[in-house]
Amino acid sequence: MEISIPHSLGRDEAKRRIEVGLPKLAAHIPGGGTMSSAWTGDYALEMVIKALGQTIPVALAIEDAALTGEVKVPAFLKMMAGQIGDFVKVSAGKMLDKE
Amino acid sequence: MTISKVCVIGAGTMGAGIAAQVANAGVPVLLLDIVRDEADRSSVAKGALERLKKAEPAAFMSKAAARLVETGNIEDDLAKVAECDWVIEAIIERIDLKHALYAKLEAVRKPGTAVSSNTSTIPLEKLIEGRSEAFRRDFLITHFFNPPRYMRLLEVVAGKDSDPALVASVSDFADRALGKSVVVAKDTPGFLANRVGTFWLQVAFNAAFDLGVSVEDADAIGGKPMGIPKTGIFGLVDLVGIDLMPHLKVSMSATLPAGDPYHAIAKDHPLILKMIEDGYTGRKGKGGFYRINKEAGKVKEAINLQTGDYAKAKKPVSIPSVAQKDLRALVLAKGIVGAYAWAVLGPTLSYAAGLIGEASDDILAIDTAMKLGYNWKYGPFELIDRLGSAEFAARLEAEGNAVPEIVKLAAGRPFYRVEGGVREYLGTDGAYHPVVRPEGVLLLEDIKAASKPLVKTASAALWDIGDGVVCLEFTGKMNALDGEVMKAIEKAIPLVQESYKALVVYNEGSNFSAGANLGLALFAMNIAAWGEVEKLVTGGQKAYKALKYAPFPVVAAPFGMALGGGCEICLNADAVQAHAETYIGLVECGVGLIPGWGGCGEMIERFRDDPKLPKGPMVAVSKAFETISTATVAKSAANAKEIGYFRPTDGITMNRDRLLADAKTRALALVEGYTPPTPPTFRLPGAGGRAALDLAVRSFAAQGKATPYDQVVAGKLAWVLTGGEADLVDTVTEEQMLALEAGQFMTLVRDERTVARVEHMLTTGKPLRN
Amino acid sequence: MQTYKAPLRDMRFVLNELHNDDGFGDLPAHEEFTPDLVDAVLEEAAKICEDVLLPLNRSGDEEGCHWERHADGTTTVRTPEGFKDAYDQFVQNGWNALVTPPEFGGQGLPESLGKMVEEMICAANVSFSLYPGLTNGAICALTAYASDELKAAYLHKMVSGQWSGTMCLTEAHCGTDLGLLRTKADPVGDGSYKINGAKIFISAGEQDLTENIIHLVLARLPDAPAGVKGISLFLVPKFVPDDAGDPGARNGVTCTAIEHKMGIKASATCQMQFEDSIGWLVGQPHKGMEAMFTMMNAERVGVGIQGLGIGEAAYQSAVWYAKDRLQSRSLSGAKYPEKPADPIIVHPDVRRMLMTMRAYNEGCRAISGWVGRALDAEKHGADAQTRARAKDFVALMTPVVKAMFTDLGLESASLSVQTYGGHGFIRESGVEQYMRDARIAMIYEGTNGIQALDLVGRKLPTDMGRLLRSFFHPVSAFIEESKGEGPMQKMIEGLERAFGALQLSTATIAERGMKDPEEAGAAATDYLRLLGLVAMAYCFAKSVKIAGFQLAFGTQEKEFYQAKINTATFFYDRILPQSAALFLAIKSGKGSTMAMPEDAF
Repeated sequence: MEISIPHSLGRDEAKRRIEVGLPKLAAHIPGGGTMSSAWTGDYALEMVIKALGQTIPVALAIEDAALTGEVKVPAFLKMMAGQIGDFVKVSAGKMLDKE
Repeated sequence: MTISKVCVIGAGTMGAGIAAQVANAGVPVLLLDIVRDEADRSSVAKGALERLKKAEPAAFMSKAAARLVETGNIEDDLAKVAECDWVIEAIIERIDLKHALYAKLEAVRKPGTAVSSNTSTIPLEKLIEGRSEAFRRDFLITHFFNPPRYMRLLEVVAGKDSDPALVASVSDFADRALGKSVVVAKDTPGFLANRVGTFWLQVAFNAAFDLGVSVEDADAIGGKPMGIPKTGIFGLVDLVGIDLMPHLKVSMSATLPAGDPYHAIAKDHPLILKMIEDGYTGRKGKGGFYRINKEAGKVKEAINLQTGDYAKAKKPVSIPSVAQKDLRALVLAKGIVGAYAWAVLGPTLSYAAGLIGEASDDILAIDTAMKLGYNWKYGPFELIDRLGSAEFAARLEAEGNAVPEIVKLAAGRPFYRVEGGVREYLGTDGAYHPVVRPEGVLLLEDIKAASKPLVKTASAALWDIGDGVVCLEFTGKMNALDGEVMKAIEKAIPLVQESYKALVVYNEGSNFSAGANLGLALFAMNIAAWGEVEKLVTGGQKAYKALKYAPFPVVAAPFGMALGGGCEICLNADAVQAHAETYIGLVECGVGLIPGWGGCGEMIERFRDDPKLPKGPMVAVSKAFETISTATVAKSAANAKEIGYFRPTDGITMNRDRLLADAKTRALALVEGYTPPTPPTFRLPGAGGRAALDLAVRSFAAQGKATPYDQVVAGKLAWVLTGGEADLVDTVTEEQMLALEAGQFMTLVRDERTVARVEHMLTTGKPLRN
Repeated sequence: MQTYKAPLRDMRFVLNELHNDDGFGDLPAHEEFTPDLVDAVLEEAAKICEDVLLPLNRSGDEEGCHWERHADGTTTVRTPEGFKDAYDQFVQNGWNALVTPPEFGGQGLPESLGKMVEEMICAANVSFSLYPGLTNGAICALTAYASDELKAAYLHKMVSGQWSGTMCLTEAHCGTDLGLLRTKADPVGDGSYKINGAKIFISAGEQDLTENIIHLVLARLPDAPAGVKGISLFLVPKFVPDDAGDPGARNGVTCTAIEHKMGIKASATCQMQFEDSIGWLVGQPHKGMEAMFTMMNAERVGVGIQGLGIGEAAYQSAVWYAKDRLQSRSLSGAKYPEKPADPIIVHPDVRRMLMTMRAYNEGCRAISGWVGRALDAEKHGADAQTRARAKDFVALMTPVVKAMFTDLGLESASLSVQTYGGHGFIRESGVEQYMRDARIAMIYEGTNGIQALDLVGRKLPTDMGRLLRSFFHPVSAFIEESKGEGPMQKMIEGLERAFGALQLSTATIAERGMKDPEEAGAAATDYLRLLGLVAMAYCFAKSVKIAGFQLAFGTQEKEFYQAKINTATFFYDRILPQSAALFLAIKSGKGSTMAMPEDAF
């Protein structure tokens, strides 16, 4: 599923805030899950959320006015796609908000 | 006398085939025929040789064998007969031509050269009319069966003047070098096999027409339930050629003694004559009793015997399962099943029994002739035993038919019995005599009748075969290899070490082994019992390596199919003594797997040790990759040497009955000073080698020879053969190779495409190309 | 008191959330059935079941059906009061042919949804469910095997509910072994046949709900081979349709009596006499059993659902009583000191019974959803491989659904009576009816013993265990991906142990059964239960995972998901350990079961 989080920070600042916020995010995965991430380009980030044996890849692209991305919700969690998407949006939003 | 060179005159189907089999024995052979083309005077024989090289099924066992055949013609090259020790005449059945040929031979052959005829219809005494005493002494009939490479029967007829010593030499050569089972026959029409066979086919035909039995039903009833090949009656005649039937009838009717029961049943069926007229002569024509209707989409059709019309071949009548295995139940079954079965068996077995005293004095000869000449599982007397000789006689009497003398003599006793562990047969004197095997023949069947196994598991047994040698016999269905076989191997090692000298791996099933018990593996795969599957792999590895490093010689004696795990056990043995007809290969890739019992490492070792191949780590790996990824199966033991499954020093036995004795001799020869081999170490090319192999696979794929999954499987094979993560500077031990095999095997086994392949093979017997 | 509110939230959980990863995929044919539409159907179904069918359950049982002989010699069967009106309402709103494809006039709903509705109907009134249920079975056989002429003449009115259908197989001397049947069919010469014979135990053989009854009868043709290979299927209408397609001449079919049964009393179980009745061949001569089995396999799942429905109704009735009835004080101190005593729901043993029923029902419902999806994927799956796998899964699980759901249904009914104490034994309480109604489901449509034999004797060995793959592989993969640290660790270990016991049992039965079929026969019933328990355990583990995610990601329905986790945990703690016992029993082999000589009994 596709997500989009608008912001007004400009690419570089958005990227900086994400970089700062990522480690903290990893500690807050619900249900005691883990998160790993890797920059695949200057403004492209790939995250993998793992919880209860399920793997949820998230690909984010940082643009000047928005974060866009794709959350690959596994079939098992189809009915929760909405909630997972919300979680990613809220988490990304939190990172962007923090200075 | 020794036979070092043979001449075959007549390059027709039989003559050429006989020449090929002589060449297969490693004996040079001169093949002659008439001159037909002035420009190329030996064109007939040459053409025959070229056809032999392309024959299906193959006539030559190896390329080398073909090179032993010299061609010529009977005008320019007859003098070369003087170089030969045995001349086989296999020309057209015309007595005038044969007489002329023999006259010429008399002039050019050296004294003591055996001369034999492959005739099937002309009496011996007539053949040698007018010949000198010396010629008559050296003359005999040697009647081969078609195709001469594969049919084990050789009927030998000696003339009243034939020199017994010469006949014995020729027979011995035919036995040991050509691998034939020699049956002594009297000079009567059709000898033994065709005498019974012609009667049988006629009776079966007549009964089908009279009882209104369809060809499908006749073949179903008259085939497998009687132990007869599933071609049955009509399928067989299609194979042999329907146009032969009238010729046979003419010949037999003319030559059989008056009063022979054949005369009463011999008749031409108008339908059959019409079929021949219309070109329906069987498989070599446009079809016969069965045909493939290409216009209707390659539909198999069968002829209606009553109307002469073709219709889609129907599923045959269902035979009650008890009747499929019990001959008594078969002849008593309700409806056409029992009626047709008895209509065929009653007269045929009666006729065969009636030959005692006339065509033969030996029930064994008649049984062997039918078993080896017509591939019957049971000979006529064995069939009577399965009916019960008392019941057989009673039913003949009840129907007002004569009971043959030998059956009366049996007086309700069986024709064969096992007494004190020895197999015995009923002689014409009414007494039982032990079945005596030819000198030097050792049969596991005889050992099993006379003793108890040393060890027995559900799928294997160990037997003491004398002189300190133990035999490991596979006993499971299709001789499939599973944990129970490995258990027997594990018990064999300390047993032989303690109290014996050597081990031979051998059995007398229809094939040596078709490989691991795939059904078991598939079941375990279906219930996701991966641990069990892995146990199958590592268990086999452990057992085979235990054999390889056992402190005594291990000789594998394969024959027929030796596939997959059946091939790997041969690779792990110290030496192989194979039957000439061994079809051996590592076929795992065909079912989406790779060899898991050491085959990969062993093949690399083979090619590495081959002095004819260049050195270098990639050479052996490439050759192993090529052989295994294409699931190459050898077409003969000689071919297996060419491919590399067998070492140059491995032995080949031509006569199936002599395989065990030869293997035992080989094993004993290795005892003195025996040391187990040293575990090999490998230097493998790693990632660089894989790139090369990958290129090869991709080019195969581009040619349409490899499916996408083939490529995946080949990739896993390449990983193992190139040493996995190791590279050229690392040493890879045999144990590491085994771990690589097991690892990639387990990955493949979990892939649903492999599961699909295994399932397809097990349910249809054919590979799935997914 | 018989109380029932359809468990819609749990049904929605099973339909929408639980089985998304089963690999059967989204079925394009059912794209229109969004969760919202599914909800709407479920809610409407619940209404008619609770408001129309449930009130007739007790009264129908008390009154029973009436077999009446009239002055003119005809016999009729009258259903209990209210049934006719209920039936009319039922068919008017299309509830009788929910799953039947639209090309035959049905609603074309997915099977997975259809099974939930079926569950509700059975929970409300099992006897009533048999009338449309038998008709659906007949429709199933006809759509698959009848000629176009027969379909044109009969199918539409059966699908609309105007006419009903029956399955006439059993005779006095043969039920399980139909090869022995004696009813004869003789060709008249014009394509029709004269049917003669007597059948028993025919549900809805005669009734006053529909203007015509279409009997599907198994009979032998004159030249038929012996045994099951000589049985043909015939369509024998009560009234032969006239030229306008309306019921015309009365056929030679009579109900000679109805049975006085232990339960499902409002279902007319008839003895039917066929005297020179006119009938028409359905399908090929001598291939009647094949046609029959197509129907029976579908019906077997339906009978399992009967067990589940009764189990749920029994549970809800027990809960109501357990909260209402005040007796004694809680062992850990009075919970309602202001009341004279605590409601018995506080007592551990009552909890045990309620939790057991609840676990059974939720577990079976989860499996029914899985099988329902497979039923749909069998027909509508995107590719041949998916359809084949779905077919294998249905074939494998059908005996488990039929036998386990009905066994557990009876157990729940019995636990419900126990919860009620002495009052449970009294008719007026309503719960003893559940036991009586549940008992037949373990017997008809192939006894549970036959189901177990079908599982180990036919389904297990097929193609070296191919059918097993459709179950064993997903469970194995789930265990492997879920293993390790985390809140579910203990549960996954429990699942792994039970699954391992199942694998070992499977291998044991396969190996022994090959050499001695009696070994398979002796292990069959225990094996079926073991397979069913592992299936429930798998579904519960998935449920817990989903519930865990929901709770972690802040769901609004905390109570529902927490209750799901509780129920699953109870199942794993108190019910799943039976798997070890079943494995040991299977391992012990047939010896002690078969050792006793007949005379010693």
